[in-house]
Amino acid sequence: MTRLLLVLGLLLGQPVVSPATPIDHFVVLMQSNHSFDNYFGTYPGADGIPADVCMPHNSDAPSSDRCVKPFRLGAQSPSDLDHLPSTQRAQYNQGKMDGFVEAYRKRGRDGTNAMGYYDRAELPFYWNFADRFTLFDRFFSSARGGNLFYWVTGQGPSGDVPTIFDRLQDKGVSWRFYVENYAKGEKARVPLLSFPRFSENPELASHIVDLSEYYRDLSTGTLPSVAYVVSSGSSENPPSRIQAGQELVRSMTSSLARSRYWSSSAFMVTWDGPGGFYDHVSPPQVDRDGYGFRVPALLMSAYARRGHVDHTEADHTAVLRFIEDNWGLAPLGPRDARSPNLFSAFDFSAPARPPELVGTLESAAPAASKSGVVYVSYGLAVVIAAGCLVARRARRLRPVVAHGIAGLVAAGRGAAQRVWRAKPNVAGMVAAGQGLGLRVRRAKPADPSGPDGTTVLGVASRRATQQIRRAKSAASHHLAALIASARDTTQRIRRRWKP
Amino acid sequence: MTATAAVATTTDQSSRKRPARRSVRTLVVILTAGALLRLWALGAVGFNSDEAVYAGQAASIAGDDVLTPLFPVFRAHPLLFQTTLSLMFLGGVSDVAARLLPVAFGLGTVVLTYLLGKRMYGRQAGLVAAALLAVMPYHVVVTRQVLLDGPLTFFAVLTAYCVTRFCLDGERRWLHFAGAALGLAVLTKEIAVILGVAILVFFLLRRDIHVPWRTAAVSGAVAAAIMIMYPLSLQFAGRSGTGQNYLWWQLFRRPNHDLAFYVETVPLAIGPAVLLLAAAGLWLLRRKGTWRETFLLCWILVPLSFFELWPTKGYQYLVVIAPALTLLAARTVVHSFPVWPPVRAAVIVTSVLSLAVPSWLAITAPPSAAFLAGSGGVPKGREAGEWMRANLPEGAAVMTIGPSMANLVRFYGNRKSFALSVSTNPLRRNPSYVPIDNPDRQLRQGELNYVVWDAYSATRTTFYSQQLMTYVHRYRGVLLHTEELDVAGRTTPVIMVYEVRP
Repeated sequence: MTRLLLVLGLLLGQPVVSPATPIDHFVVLMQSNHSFDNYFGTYPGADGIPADVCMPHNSDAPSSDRCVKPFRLGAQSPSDLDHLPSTQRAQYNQGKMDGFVEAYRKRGRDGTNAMGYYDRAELPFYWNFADRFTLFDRFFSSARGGNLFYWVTGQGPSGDVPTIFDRLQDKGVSWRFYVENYAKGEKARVPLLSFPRFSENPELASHIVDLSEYYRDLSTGTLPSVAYVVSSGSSENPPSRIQAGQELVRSMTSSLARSRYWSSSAFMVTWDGPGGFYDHVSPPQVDRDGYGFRVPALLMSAYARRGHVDHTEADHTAVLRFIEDNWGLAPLGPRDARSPNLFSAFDFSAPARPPELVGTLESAAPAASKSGVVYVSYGLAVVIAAGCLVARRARRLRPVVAHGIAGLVAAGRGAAQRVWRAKPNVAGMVAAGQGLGLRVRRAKPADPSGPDGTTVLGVASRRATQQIRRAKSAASHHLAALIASARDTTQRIRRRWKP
Repeated sequence: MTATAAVATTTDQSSRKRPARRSVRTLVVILTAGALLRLWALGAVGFNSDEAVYAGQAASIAGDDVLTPLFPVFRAHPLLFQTTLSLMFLGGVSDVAARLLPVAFGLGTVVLTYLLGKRMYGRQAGLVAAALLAVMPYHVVVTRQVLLDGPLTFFAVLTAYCVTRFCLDGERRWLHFAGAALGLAVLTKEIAVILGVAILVFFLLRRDIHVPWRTAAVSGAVAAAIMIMYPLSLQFAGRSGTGQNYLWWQLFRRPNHDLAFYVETVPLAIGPAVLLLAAAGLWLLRRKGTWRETFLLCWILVPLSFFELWPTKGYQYLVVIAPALTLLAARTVVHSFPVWPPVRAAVIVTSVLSLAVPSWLAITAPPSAAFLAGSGGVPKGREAGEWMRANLPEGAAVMTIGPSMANLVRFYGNRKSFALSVSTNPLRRNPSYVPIDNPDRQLRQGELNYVVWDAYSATRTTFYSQQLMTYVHRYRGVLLHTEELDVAGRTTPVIMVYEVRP
């Protein structure tokens, strides 16, 4: 593809830039208003919600019974939480990160929903996506407001500044800005249109198109090198259904995976801001505006690391930095100049992975194998059947076994008799022990270390030892007789068992 | 012992051994012919749907990473055969290797038929019966496939052999072992309980064969102790509902074929010669009838009546009666033409050839765009599946006309697949299958990404074939791949893979 573009570029006299990585096409979608902990706070391996967190109603007087613990939102879509910069500042509370509920309560609102979170049950697609590709858990919103501007310019809303699309246009790198259900001139969702040149210049305006063009571009082979996407009905902005956003991302990624662009593309989805939801990581202060709280970010590519949680600290300007580094563009400002470029999420040394469609069914845990039950039960059935075969032989051996058992019983009886005969010796040992105990008790009043006690104890112990020795020799005699009897029985059984 | 007496004894022994050696040699020739017919081009055509399911279950039992999520271990039938097959899959899954196991069971059945015939009607009859079974198209075709019916027939003949030994020798242990063999037959396919009914009917009809109650009870207990492993394994695996659901569905489902199905398909596969000889023998030797014929007739008629009434009919289901038919035919050949051996030899050769030639034609027949379940592999099914495995993204979901192709897509393509024709009404679908609740919604939401049309399912159900193509057109289907067959000099597309987009 790159070679083809080079040839075409030379033929058309256009400057053509070949990317620094195998990524010829970069698609990045911006969704709305969810924090990292709200979506991935319980995702295994990610920096998620701490175990003991309970957000106080009043940060000045924290109390264990007046706080809100994180809770599963389940199927409910809470109404839009106020997420103005001032609210986020109150939530941040000078880095203490304890104002997520208080910020609302001070304004007479409940604020409990700020502590709600989703998990695999509600976000099966995003979690499956993370299982198979890359999830960023240190990806911050660029600021407490104006994140869409950071996404395209590397800075907040501040007049007529260059955008990444100006850079791409100058360098001859193809680009498009796709908008779901696009109505021309929509400034709210298309930050680009805040710059008059993109609405007035027909050539530049023609790059801003409806999202349906994305699917057409994939099938006709006209996908640009850089594609920005914003959604509307599927934006997940509360109280919008989060399922709608997952369906959109699923549709876009599955179309990409099934297209010719799979092995030369990367697809990234991120969220513009936290939407008022709780996140436990205090954002680093890189400049006057930010960072803001963490937001989720996912990357799909044939070169993305499988099931990787990337801990690189970045913000929305990392998208700009990736584009700049990949296509050799100059930075737009200090933020993107300092930003990491997302290359850590890729493994370009490995061959391109085969395309993969991510589903909505839970797939994290492999199905428990029932092989053990099957092998044991059916193996047992075969053993029973085989047992019938050998039953006849067993019957033939029955007299031998019976004889052997009789021999064993006789031997046992003999042994018991010998033990019975040995009983007096045992009784003698017990009596000796009792006598010893008695003497020891009697000697107790005297000093055991004194001459009287020592003598009594010594005599008793000597007698007991003699009795034990006598009993021992009798017992060993009986034991030897028992062993001889058992040996004899075994030999008799062996003789009988010989065919 | 004098020298003359010693020589006489040696001559006597060698003259006794001679026919035995000749029998062994003949049996080896028969087995070679049977093996040739069963192994010839064994992997030329890939699996059919049932084979894919049984092999998929075996792969799941063996713990294959790819196939385990696609084929649940517990589905419709007990798992003795699949468990045995899983041992072959421990080193890797292969369709050709899988087919070697039913081939082994098929050849084992030939040997058992010889032993049974020898006990019933003498060595020669045993050899004739074994020869007929070894080359019979019905048995050859069924035991070339990974189906349960070949192993079931093996255990059925083993049961019959044990019952025969009990009737001949009167030793109780043979009836005990018959119980064990019947238990294994039931663990292969639960429908084998019908053979137990056949044996019961036989003993009820022949009151001259005395079966002590205690012996019968012990045999029944042995059979039950083995059979119980099926519900026990389901219980321990937490899938006790699986077998019950399947039984209910089988009992109340709509018939899949009409009443004439077996009459139209099976006699030709068994061979008219075998049927004629068996019937002729029953008539010609009617005055010489013994318990043996009663037993063989029970073995044939009880399953035949049952399967005729049972709503689910399958080409391979009646293969269990084939050995009994060959024994009756062999009896006719050996005992009806005793005076003029050349006639007997001619009848034997003609009968064997009348079976061997159709068998050969069946295994070397060019592939056809029409397909009867159980009669062989699905032409180009494997190739289409392998193409899907190589070219469709992992995680892709495929919609097919019927579950047969869906099973092939799962086994060879390693992709999730769902059939349009599977009813959403649980009373009207095989509980093993997952229906597509709302094809439009699932296609629109990208839950189904590809559509596979196949000629085999399309001939069976034109309605769902048209429905499938409607979705292909509605969702801008793009033809990605076609598998074609050369049928009567014309290239005919048999499997087509479409990509659909919301």
